[in-house]
Amino acid sequence: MSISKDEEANVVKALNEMEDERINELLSNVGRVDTPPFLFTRIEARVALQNEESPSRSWVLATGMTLALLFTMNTYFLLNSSKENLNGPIEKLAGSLELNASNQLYHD
Amino acid sequence: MAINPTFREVYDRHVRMVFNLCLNYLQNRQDAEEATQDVFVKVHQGMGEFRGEAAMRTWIYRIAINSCLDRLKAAKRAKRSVWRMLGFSGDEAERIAGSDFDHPGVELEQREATQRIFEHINGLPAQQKTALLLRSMEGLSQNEVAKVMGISAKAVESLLSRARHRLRKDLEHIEG
Repeated sequence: MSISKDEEANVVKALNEMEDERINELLSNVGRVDTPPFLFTRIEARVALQNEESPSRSWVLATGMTLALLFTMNTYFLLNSSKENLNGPIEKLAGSLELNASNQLYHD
Repeated sequence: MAINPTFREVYDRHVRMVFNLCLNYLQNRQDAEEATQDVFVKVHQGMGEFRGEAAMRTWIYRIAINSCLDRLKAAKRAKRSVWRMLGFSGDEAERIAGSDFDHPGVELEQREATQRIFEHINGLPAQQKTALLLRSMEGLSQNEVAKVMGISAKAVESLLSRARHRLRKDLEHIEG
């Protein structure tokens, strides 16, 4: 007696479903477990440790602002001092005598 | 900086789910506990971004899966290198590397059968394993699994079908 392809497919499908059910049943027998005691305390300790290791946001912000302020002040003084150098009385006198007022040893 | 009280609420609501997912993923109590710690440290770092409960649950599931995958990779690498140093071949080292079964949710009389199923589940590609565990053990719907994994529901269906097909084949091979 031969069976049709449809019947064969149905048998295979049913066998597969049975096998899937068996696997699902075994997996569903795995119970839910309560969390271990003191887990939160351990997490708290790890979070605290991490916070100690990494600098706080306010410290990073304060350091960044201080550096920015220093840089701005430096640039401001440098620009102003170079302007003063060009327009000061000594520089004017040196210019009129075609001399160089720079105290650099090697200049153009 | 002190622990924020909202974090305690989030922890209380999700810790059981995270610990059990990690247990099912790693099948080792100690590893699951450490992975759960990793998850909640990360949750504490990024908690400000989430408002809705559903989004937070999905996000925590994702962190838990990634933590488990990272832990599995690191443990396998470490154990494999130790066994290789002791003179075992690659396949033997691979087999020994994954043999620390300690799942407190498995009853003693079903331990052997369940352990065998888990061994085969561990042999599945990571995405198939994740889809199968979320669907069969965590009881998430196909759409929820899709959200957690960041793929379409159709893709989840395909992953599940391939995972089940492979498990059936593996088990037939063992039993037949």
